Amino acid sequence: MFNIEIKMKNLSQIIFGALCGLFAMGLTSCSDDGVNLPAPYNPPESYNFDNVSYSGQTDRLNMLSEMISTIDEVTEGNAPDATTLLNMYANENSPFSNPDLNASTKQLKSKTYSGLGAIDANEIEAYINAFAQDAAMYKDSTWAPGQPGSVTKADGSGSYFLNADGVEYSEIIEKTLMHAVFYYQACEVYTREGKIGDAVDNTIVTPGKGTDMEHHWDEAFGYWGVPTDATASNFESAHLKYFGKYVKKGEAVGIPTFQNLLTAFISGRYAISTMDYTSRDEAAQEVRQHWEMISVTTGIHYLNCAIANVGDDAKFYHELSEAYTFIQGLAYNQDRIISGSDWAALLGLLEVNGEASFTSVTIADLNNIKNQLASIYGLEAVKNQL
Amino acid sequence: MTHQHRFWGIGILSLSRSMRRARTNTLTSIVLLLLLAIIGCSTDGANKHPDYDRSSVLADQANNIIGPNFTVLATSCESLDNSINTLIADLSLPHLEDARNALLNARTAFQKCTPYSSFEPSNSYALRNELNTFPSDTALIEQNIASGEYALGRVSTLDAQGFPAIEYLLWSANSDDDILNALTNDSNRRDYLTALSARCQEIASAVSNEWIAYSTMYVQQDGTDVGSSLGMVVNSLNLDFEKFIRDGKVGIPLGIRSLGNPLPGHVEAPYSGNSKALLMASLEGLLQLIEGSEGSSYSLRTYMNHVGAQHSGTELSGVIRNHINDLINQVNAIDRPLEAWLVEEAGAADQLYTDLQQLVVYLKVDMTSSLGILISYQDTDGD
Repeated sequence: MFNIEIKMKNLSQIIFGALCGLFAMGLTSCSDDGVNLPAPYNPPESYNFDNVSYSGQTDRLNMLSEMISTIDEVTEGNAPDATTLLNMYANENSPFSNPDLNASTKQLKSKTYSGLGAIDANEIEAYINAFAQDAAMYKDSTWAPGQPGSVTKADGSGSYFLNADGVEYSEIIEKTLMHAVFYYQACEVYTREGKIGDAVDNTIVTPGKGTDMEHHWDEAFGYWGVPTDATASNFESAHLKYFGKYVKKGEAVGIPTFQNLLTAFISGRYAISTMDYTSRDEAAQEVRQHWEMISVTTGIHYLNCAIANVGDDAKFYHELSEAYTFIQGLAYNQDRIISGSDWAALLGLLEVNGEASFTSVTIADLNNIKNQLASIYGLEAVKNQL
Repeated sequence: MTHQHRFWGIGILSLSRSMRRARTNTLTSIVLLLLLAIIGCSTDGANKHPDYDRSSVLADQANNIIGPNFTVLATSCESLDNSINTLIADLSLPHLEDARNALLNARTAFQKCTPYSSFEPSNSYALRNELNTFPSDTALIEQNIASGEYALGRVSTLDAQGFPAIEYLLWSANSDDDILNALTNDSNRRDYLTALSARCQEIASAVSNEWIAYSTMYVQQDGTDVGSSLGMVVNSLNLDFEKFIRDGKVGIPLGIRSLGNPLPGHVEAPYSGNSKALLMASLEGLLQLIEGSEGSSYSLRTYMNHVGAQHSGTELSGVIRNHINDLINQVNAIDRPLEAWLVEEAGAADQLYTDLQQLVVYLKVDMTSSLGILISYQDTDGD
């Protein structure tokens, strides 16, 4: 049995805040030497609330890390088999070296977007199978268009393993799962009606987890990969994972991608804890909107990198694989700014028969995608610096 | 991509050379880091020197350097295309010689354009990649000729097109007769050659035409922030010098990316013996951009003088000019094809590379910090 208490905190906070306000107004004319009022309950600077818990999200972030490390062994001459990787994807048969992950009830597969219009769980499994097959056959081969294999950077500092179409398996699996699980769950599940709507309980506090509504919001935050003590002034040195790290592309050109999303998450949690549901719904929209900007700025960044590294096949195809996944990933948010037809047209320049394929791409194509994204998202002024 | 390892076997592992270079590089890196650290503490970047007529600097660059150089590139590519067509119409030795001369002219013109090829309009047309990706993948060139199926401009085709691929077709066979015979006997080969020169002409004239419209905006964006024209051109010339002149033309053939094993076949013009001339031309182009046009009162040089830029107590613009002139003299003194010289005169070649590296310090550290310009390009691959 959980230890359950009735949540009176929220109501008392509102009343207390209002009383303080009235009291302070009444005193302004004669408060020269100040009155020591207790501080009202204000939104914190970091995601520092009572009862925040998102260990399930942290588990999934760590599962993805371990899965990708296993895939990356191919560049050291080890070909991971499909069964191991599929087990990691579904967390079956204790596939992880970290026993905590094996013991976890969480998994990536069941939380992956499943449906039409964007890469889904079945296609992820297809990429995993194709990877295992190519890795077994071509792990010692040198990549060329039409020929899977490894390609080494011009400065010799590392290699990537690509499929016949120049797509890096490691990137397309990792960054697509970032979007199809983390971004999708945050945008379409945990900040939506079913998880934070008025029908969801927001009065019964489970110690350590808050109310259901609070907990769901915290789970959305947990997918971001940012610790609860990160603030706008210290986040660069914080332990950031996945989307938490990719705020830096926008921040580097003066777009406050970190601050914006953090503020949205804090406002939403504060609104839920103070039962301000109008603000909660606004914050949910802001979360989706500002998270989208992380993917777009990062996508343009990698297009710039790819264009700059034409001639170094390893860097070029690696960076283009990244760019593709960040643009493809925009699909998992229904409120996205880019229209479905624009999205499909831009992505089509990087696809053949509906699948990522980069060996026939031109620099003009890449510039075209970049320019159109910049125009759609109002990033004209910074598109070359991203 | 087998061509990357084509010359792996030629070099003799020269540990002492590579170690010496590694030490030099480490020292240089430390110096660079220290300088950067000092700059990081003392500069507030963009608005440091707002009191100079930067739009006049930009106007001189736009109207007297960049515009005219793009025009020369476009006309010389047109001449190249005409010469190739004349050669194909009448496969004779004089026409072959004409085409070769026209190629050298176009390539020389191109060298003057590379310092500003990393922003618009060159960037959109991928001017550098389309015209001058080297070393060529000769297997891919022959494969494209044999199949007759290719699409110029694809990223995967760039190392089988442009000036280096034309050079391969005009020079690489054993004798002039062999070249003419190969063309006579194979219509696909003739078609490929004309497609290559037509593509060069198309890209060069598009860039030249678009510059006319772009140049107005270029002169107007007269700040020093990252998106300003000065920010772009200084970043572009640094990237060009560091990655494509120092590394591409000298460092990589010398073995900086192959454990000190020289890769002489990776020089810019391995079949024609023109690599030295092209290296000279690019250093001259860089000097022209920094000095400004003949008699101009506004240039990067005058701007550096205006802010009192110095290197170790000496006027920085003079240090840079003398250093580039010294580099030009070193290159001018090379008495044989660059690919042979790099291997046979290892000591002098190491010195040339070290001196090219020294110019990076003057341009990327001293010049940018004195003008309050931030280097925003990066050569990383993220994660």
